[in-house]
Amino acid sequence: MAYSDKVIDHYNNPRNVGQLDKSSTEVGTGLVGAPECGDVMRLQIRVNPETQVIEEAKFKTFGCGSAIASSSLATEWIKGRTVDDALTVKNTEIVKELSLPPVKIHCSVLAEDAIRAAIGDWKKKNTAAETTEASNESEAAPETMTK
Amino acid sequence: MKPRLNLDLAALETEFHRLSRKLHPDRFARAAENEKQWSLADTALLNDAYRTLKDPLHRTEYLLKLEGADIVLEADAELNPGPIQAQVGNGRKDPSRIPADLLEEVFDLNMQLEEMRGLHKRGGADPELRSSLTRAKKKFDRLLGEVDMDLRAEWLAWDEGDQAARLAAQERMVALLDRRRYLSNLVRDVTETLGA
Repeated sequence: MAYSDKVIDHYNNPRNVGQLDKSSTEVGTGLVGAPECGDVMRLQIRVNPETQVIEEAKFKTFGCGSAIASSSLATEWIKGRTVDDALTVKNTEIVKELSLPPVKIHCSVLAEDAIRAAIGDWKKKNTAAETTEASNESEAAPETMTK
Repeated sequence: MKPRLNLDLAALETEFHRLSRKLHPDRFARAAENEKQWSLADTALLNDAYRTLKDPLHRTEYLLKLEGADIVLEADAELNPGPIQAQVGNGRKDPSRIPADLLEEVFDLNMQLEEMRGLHKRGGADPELRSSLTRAKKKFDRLLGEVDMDLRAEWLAWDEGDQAARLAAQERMVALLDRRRYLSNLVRDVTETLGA
């Protein structure tokens, strides 16, 4: 099976590989895995608390080329967007952009799950912080995980 | 004949030998051409059947597939190493199927493996990393053993249970096989890296 040029490009020059400080309240970490093939993907975001904009996104993926490309693309797409906007990224868009064949669709699902998990983690941290301050709770209401 | 997961392996072997002798192509050396062909075909089928039944994993996978679970047999996966859809029914995979603590360990293990491979390439060595990986391998080997114990418990549930109990056991077996494949790939990677 041949990889598309875009997958090869992301595989050879992955964007935003790295790590953010997991303990920071501005950082959300999503760690997801696919049991079928042993892929694991960690995606992290750093969110500006004032604007809710994702200013930094980093990933580290162990897996096939499609899994690496999917997560690399995901970090590119969510950078500069607000968390709520980033939640609208769909795995089908990743499939389309990277021309993933049917057997690799689960890689894009994994990337979408990683975005949701990272944002979920960030929301959880910040909801907990906000309830102690008793402010602005409605905005942080976790309406994440629904698919 | 009612399918079962717990088998009397000695009886299986005896039956295999009995049928083998009965179907063996040597016995058909002077038979008609079509009988020779049948003998060959049936012998091949018998050998496949014996191999599948003898191996606990292949047997479980085969039965789950017969029951309609959407899984790829281990034997096929070896020929075609790609992503494997392993799920009862369709719909999305449940991402929570791998527990979070295991995921963390898998991720850390992969980091260490990457470091180790990098070291090997530069001709370096790190005894501490090596012993940490050896510990990890032991642990994942142990987890594999636990999965196998769990699988055996499900065999019993499947063999003895009613329809509802069987369905529940099937679902758990599909999940256990997923976990098993995940763990055995890890053990294989660690073994390869340590051996390199």
